[in-house]
Formats: sequence, C-alpha cells, structure tokens
Amino acid sequence: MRNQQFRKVYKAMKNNKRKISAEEKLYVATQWQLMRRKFKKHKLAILGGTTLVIFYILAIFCGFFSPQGIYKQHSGYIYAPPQRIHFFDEEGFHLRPFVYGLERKIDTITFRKIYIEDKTRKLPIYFFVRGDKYKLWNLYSTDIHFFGVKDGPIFLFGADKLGRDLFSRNLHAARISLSIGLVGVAISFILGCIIGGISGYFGGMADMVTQRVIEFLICIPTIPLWMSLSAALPKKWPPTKIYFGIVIILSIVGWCGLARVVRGKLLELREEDFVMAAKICGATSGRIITRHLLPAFLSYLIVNVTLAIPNMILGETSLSFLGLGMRAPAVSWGVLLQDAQNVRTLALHPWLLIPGLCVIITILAFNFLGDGLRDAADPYKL
Amino acid sequence: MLFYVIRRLLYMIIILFLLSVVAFIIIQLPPGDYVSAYVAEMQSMRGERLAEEEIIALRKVYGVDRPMYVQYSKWLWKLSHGNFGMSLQLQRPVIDLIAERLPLTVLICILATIFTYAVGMPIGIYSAIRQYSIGDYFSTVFGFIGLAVPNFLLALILMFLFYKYFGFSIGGLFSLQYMDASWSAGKFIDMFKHLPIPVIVIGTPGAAALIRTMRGCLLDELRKQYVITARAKGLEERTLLFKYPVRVAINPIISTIGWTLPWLISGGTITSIVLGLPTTGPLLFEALLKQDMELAGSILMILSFLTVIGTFISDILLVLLDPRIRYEKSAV
Amino acid sequence: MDFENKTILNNKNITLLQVKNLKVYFYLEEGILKAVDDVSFDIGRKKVLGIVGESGCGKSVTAQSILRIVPHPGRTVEGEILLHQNGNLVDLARLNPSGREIRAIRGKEIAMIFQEPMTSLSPIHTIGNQIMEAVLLHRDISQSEARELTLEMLYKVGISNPHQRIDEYSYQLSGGLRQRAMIAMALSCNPSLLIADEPTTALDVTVQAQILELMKELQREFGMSIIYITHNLGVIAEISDEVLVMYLGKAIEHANIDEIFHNPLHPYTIGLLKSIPKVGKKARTRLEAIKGIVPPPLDLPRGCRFYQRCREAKEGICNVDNPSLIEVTKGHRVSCFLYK
Repeated sequence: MRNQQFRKVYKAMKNNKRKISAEEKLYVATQWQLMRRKFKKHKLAILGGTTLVIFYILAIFCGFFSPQGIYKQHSGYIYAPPQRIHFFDEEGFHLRPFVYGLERKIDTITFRKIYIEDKTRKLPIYFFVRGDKYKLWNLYSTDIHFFGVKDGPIFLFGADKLGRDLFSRNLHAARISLSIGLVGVAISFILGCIIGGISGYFGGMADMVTQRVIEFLICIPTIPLWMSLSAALPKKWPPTKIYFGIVIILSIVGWCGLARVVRGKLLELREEDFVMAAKICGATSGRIITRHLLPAFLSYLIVNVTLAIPNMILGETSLSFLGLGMRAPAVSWGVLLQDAQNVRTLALHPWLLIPGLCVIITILAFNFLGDGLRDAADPYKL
Repeated sequence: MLFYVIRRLLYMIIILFLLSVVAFIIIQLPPGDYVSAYVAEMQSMRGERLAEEEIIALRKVYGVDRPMYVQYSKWLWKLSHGNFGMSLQLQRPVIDLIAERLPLTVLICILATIFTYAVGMPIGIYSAIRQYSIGDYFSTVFGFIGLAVPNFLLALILMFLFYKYFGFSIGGLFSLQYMDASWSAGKFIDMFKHLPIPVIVIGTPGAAALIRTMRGCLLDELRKQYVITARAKGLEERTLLFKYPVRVAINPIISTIGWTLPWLISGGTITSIVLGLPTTGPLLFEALLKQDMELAGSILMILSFLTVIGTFISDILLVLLDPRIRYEKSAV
Repeated sequence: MDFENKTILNNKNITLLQVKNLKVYFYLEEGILKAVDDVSFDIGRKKVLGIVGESGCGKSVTAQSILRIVPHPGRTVEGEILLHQNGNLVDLARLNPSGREIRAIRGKEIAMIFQEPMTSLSPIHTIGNQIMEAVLLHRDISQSEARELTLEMLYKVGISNPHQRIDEYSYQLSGGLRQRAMIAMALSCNPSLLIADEPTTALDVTVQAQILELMKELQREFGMSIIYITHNLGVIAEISDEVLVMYLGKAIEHANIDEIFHNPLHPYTIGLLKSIPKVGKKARTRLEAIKGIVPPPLDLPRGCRFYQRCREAKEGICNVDNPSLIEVTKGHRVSCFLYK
C-alpha cells in the first residue's frame, strides 16, 4: 500500500520535473519568442492570419487563379448560377473533380430563363490549362490558368448580367479591395507616426494644436465626408488615378486614430527612465524617437495598424458600392456589389452577394488577427 | 460647472466655424464654378451660346470672379443669416430641403442610439458576469459579426431575406399611400411600422462594439478591490454588482456616446441610401451625383454639427455622473 | 473524537474562531496552486493573532477564505472554519459563499480591512454612503440614525471633521484618512472579529504608527479579536498576542509573541528575525538574508517546502517527507524535523 503510494508520488515528481524545465525556458525566452508562443495559442488569430495569406496570394496572382478573363462575355450564360463541383456520378467516385454543363431553358410559367445541370455533359476540371490570354502583373503575357475546363466556361460563383464569370471578377476585385487597405494604412501610418510623434514627443503647443485638429476631424462623420470628397474626383480620370485619389481621401481621416495611438504611447514612454538616460547622454531628439521610442512600441503599433486596415477596406467598398469610388471597368468588391443593389434582381440571383461575403470574411480575419496580435504584444500579461 | 459649460459652448462655436470652412472647401472642390457649369449646360441643353460679355457679367453677379476669401466671407455672412444658398438641381432653397429631412434623420439617429445602448449594455454586462458561459460565447460571436458586417451589406442582406422569404420590400419609411400625404395619425403609425429595420441596421455595429467594450470595462472593474470590500460588507451579489462595478464601468461608456455619433450618422447615411429613407443621406447622395455642391456642403456641415452637439451632451452627462471628473473640471 | 468535542466545549467561552486543516486550492490552467495547504489555528476572544509570511505565502488567502471571498479559480477544498456565535457553532467552510447565512456574518460578525486604501473604496460613492450601507444592511435602524452612527464612527477613528468628510469621495482623502474610513466602516457593526490584511503596508511610516495605535485603542474599546496579516515583524511585535508564521501555504510555527521573538524554533522564523535591522547592533555587520528565492508555487517538490533554502536541511529526511505541525512546548507548535 505504502509502496504504491510512493511510486505514485515518484511518478508525479518525474512529471513535475519536466514541467519545471519547460517553465524555466519561459524565464529565459526573449520577448520575441514569448510573443510568438502567445500568438500561436490564439486559435482564431491563426485562422484569421491563414485566411488573409490565402486571400492575398489569390489576389496577387488573380489572373492565374481565375479560369476566365474578367471582361469576356459569355452570351449564353447570362445570370448563370454557380456550378457545383462533383466527385461522384452514377458510376461512382472520380478522383478528378468535374462540373456538369449548364442547359438553358425557359420556365413555362414565369417565362424566365433558368439553367439546369445537363447530366449528360460532364466537364472534368483540369489544372494548368490553357484559356483566355492575360498579362500577369502587366508584364508577362500568358494563357495558362490554374484550373479550368477544356470546352466551355466554368462558373463557380455564377455569372453576371453580361455573362461574365463572377469567380474571376471576385479575384480581380480582391486585388483592388485588399491592396487599398494596405496602401491606405501605409499612408495613414506614416502621417500618424510623424504627426503623433511630434505631438507626443514635444508636447506643449504642438500637442495642443494636433489634438484639436484630430478632435475636429473625428467629429465629421466619415462616410458623408468621403462621399463629398470622392464626388469631387474628376470623372475623366483613369482607374489608377481614381485609385490613389480614393486612398488619399481615406487617409485624410485614417491618420487621426493612429496619431492618437502614437501620441498616447509616447507620452507614456517619455516618462520612462531609459529615455531620461538617453537624454542625459546627449542623444538628439530624432535619435531618441527612432532609436529608443519606436522599437519600444512597434508591436503596439502593428496591432493598431492591423485593426485600422478593415476600416479602409470598408470605406472603399462603401464608396464604390455607391458609385462614388472605383468605377467600372475597374473591379473591386464594392463595384461588384453595385449589381446587387436591386432587391428583385438579388432575390433571383443571390450569388451577386458573394463579394459582400468576401468583405465580411476579410474584415473578420483582420479583427481576429488583430486580437491575437494584441494579446501577443503583451506577453507578460496573463 | 457653469464655467465648464460656457467653455464647451465657446469651443463648439469654434468647431462650427471650422466646419463651415470644410463645407466651403467641398463646395469649391469640383473643377470649374457655378457659372461655367451653367454656361456648359446652356450650351448642351438648349444649344445657346453665351457671349463673352454675358459670361463676365454673370461671373460678377455670382461673385465668382472675387478671390476665395472674399467669396468665403460672403458665403459665411449669408450662412449666419440662415441663407444656405439655392439647390441648383432642385431650384429650392437649401435650408428648406434640409429642414424637410432633418427631423427624421435626428429621430432615426436617436432611436439607433437607444437601440445600441439598450442592446449592447445588458448583453455586455451579462457576458462579463458570466464570463466563458455559453451566453458569453454567443455574444462574442454576435459582437464579431456585428463588427464585420458593414451597414449597407446588412441592409442589403435583410432586404434580400425579407423579399425572398416574406415577399415584400422593406425599403422606405412610408407605405405607398402615405408617401406624399401630409402628416396624420395613420401616417405616423405607418412610419413606426417601418422604423425597426433601419434602426436595427444602423444600430447593430455600434451595439456589437459596445458589447465588447462593456464586457472589457466591467471585467476590469470586477477585479478591483472595492468590489471585494463591498462583498466583505455582506452585500448581496446582485445589489453589489449594480451599485459598484457596473456604475463605474458605465462612465467611460457614456463618454463614448460622442464617439459613436459620427459612426451612427455615417452608417445612417449609407443605410438610408440603400433603404431609400427620406432622410438627409439620400439627399446628400443625389446632390453629389448631380454636383449640386452647395446642397452637399451644407448637409455635411449640418451632419457634422449634429455630432458636435451629441458630444457636448455626452460630455456634460459624464461630468454629472462621475464625481472624479466633476472634481477635476471644477478645479480647473 | 470525544476528546475534541470536549475541548471545544471547554473553549466555548474563550475561543472565537477555529480553523482546522484548511486547504484552499486555485485551479489554474497550468495546474493546481495550493495557496493554503492544511493550515490550522485558533483565535481567542479579544486576542490579536498575527499572521506573518512573505508575499504569496497564502496569508491573504487564509483571511479571504474565512469570509468565503476567495477570488474565482480558488476553492476551499477541505477543512473547517468554526465560528463560535453566542453558544452556536457555525462551520463557515460549509456555507454557500453567496448565501444568506454567510452574508449575515460578513460585515456583522467578521469585518475586514484591506491593504490598498486607494482602491478599496469605490471612487464614485461618498465615504458616508459606503459606511451607511454596511450599517443599514446589518442593523435595524433608520437612515438618519445610520448617518448619526457613521458620523460617530468617523469621529472615533480620528477623523477630525466628520461632518465634512462624510460627504466626500475617496479621492479627496489622503491614504491615512482612507484607511481610517475603512476601519470606521469595518467597526460600524461592532464585529467580534476584525481581519486586517496588511492595513498599513501601503502607508507612510508615520501614518502607519498612527493607524496601528488607533487599532490598538479601538480593540480595547470595542473588544473584538483581530487577525492581523503582515510581512512586517515589527508591526507584529507591536500588536499581537500570538503569531502564526506561514511559508508557501503551510503554517510552520505558531506560538505566543514572546516565544516567537525570544525562542524561535523554525529555521525560517530564525532567518526572518535575523534579517530585521536592529538598533544597537554593531555597525557594519551585514544583515543576514535567507538564501535563495521562494520556489514557484505550482508543482512543489516533495518534502519540506523550505528544504532548498534551509541551513539545517538534512538530505534524506527533509526532502522526503513533509514535517507536520507538532507541539514542542506548551502553546508552541512548529513543523520541522529538528524538533521531534
């Protein structure tokens, strides 16, 4: 009896030893290691991050991943519904996925065009097929697509009113919608760092003025302001010019939040002893800001930047949706959603809302990622 | 306290002045001015070609040949007398157009604020108290979804679902027969039947954000020593909760009313456009599409000023509620 | 069993509270933290028991578990907390921590004051409001009577202008005044036991002495027992009748005040006493510190918990078994293999 107990205790002790050594590792880990460990624990953040990586890869290589050209109109497939990918037919399982061809019929009661799967026409999906010509990043002309069917088009997300493939259009739209978030935040970030940095570091009059300016800008409702400003963009401008116009408009308000964050953190850090030490050593202001203050709250900034991106994406989507932002022939999620404005059309062709779903997933992913980063940025907090 | 209110009022006047500058810039933004637009229109619509002298005369009449600051001070002078100019498109005074739409805008805004707080606060409190319960997870999910679905998409999705499954369109604020009718009891009731959808659409993102903040604030407060003090006194848990941590946690939330207002108005604008509500949102949209900048600038200014008033009210409320801040402000 | 019952009966008049084999564990993600592990002690009526130990030794948790206000992942796993209440015995450890019975005892029979006078009062309620709340909760009196009583209490704890202070907020008071207000609140219902959890730690030394003096005075006047928790042995010497020394969740020595200071037995207690600076000691002698640090409280090694830091540790004995608390001389208990 006693012997057994001893053995139990001994076993527990051995286990304990292993645990303690793991704990000791925790004490000697660098801050960076701690952050990584904490971030990995955050399941949702990992999910969000992975989703974003996939989305951005798809967006960067949108030409390659789309099976069809985005302007090519398939007149026989106007408002064709999304095709389902099959692995099974009456013969059983096939390793190569396939779709059934679509057959257009007229509904005898409503006289509307409807599409039904034609079970006799099996279209296997091939990878690295040749299809419509496109230019990758406007540099390399090629016609190899990641996937596609050999005869005829494939509509994974359905087709729009001109018979254009919405899957391809969504991928191309992602390029504009996703990049506008990054570019916009980059500009806001630079502005925010400079202005917030000056305000927080020097304090006094400079701080007073910037604080009042930020307060003023924040009290203007963003969407009406953005709408008014983007309505002033000349109609004749080409898409690239409009794109940068929109980015600048979004950044006019975007920098405020980041500047506040920078300022707040700087004021906190200014009081820290190591800054005083650097000052006593005769370091210049610029050096103190870049060498001592910026690294100290870089992680904190990254979190806030991550959480600022969704606002930019939302801004562009809203503006384009209203027709005040990007305009056809450019495609962004907002532009695609314009087709979903009419309820009656939408009720018949619900797949027109897919771009909206993309927006929601993207924003959720950024928020999850931001939350995980926020937790990781503070690794010593339990 | 009185001194604080006066100071805030003065501050509001300065903001109002700055807002007028922004509005004026927006009016001036589109290339060309009113006269050149008019000339172009005359030319394209009626094929009339105006003589050079006529154009110069017109420019003089409308004052567009003067330097910017003169134009601005003239405009501001008119503004301070309640003259917001004319809508070129609708050929009516801007002030009348806005006055027509403003009450409904304010009403929807207030209702959406109430909705936001009525939904966000109880759920936030609940999920803080019952941290990690099933209810807490549900509210967290709701919080995330509310955060990620933009107003206009929510409006679209609701419109789609209602149309598809109930077969009617939820847009607008009035049924057809009341659309152009003057105000009556019937119209009033009809409006209240239409109000819930826009209010929910506009209020949901705010409510979702509020759940998250309320939960975070209350969780912080629950860990504080004074809660334990109160518990050690023998207070009942529920009484304790509402008297101490909830009261303390609500204060920062109230101070965010001012913050949420620009969001609400912003979301309200786009939602109104999608749902076709007779508020200032669609008016602004139409004005922008037609380049009717005088109207657009004025609407932007009025909307911004609404949020300034809202911030003012929430600041005063906060001072009344929180003795710490009252103490600070009276000391200054 | 029989014997135990007899002692309880015999002690009826002099014992107020008995804590027996108390175990409070915190169930954390990383494992079980044994904050209080098998601690027993008694406290007599009108006596002052000092509990000493380093931070994290479980002294505060012991106090919290008496009132059943241990914060969330912590749970009273085992043991009895017997309160002698006019002839009745109540086991506090059996009560529902949010039930009516324990709430009737909190603040009325047993009151508590805390370490942080800054945060232990609500920032948005007046001092008077918070004291009156306790009074109204436990006494059947009117609002105005409660206010009178509160004013009287504020006066008794040495607040000079109670009529003004009663309507002030905590941020308007200094640390010392806040702690005085806390004491007024705790004593407002005339409790038979006051638990003071490091009440003077966060205060200036001069204010500390004043508060300590005040507590001694009030104890004489109100006749309550006090459990005084601190890590400061000087304070303990000033106020206690008996001392309980704790180390990592264990009670390691328990004796009256003279015994502890003049005849300490446990190597830890001896070490603690040596580390106090003393007047009259030869200059330039180093203060002795206890070597090593407190091991992390999760997953403690087997054997005596003080083993790694102990000067007298004997391998093969101290790191194998856990010593139990045994009575060496009358009223002096110690848990160490040196005394068997």
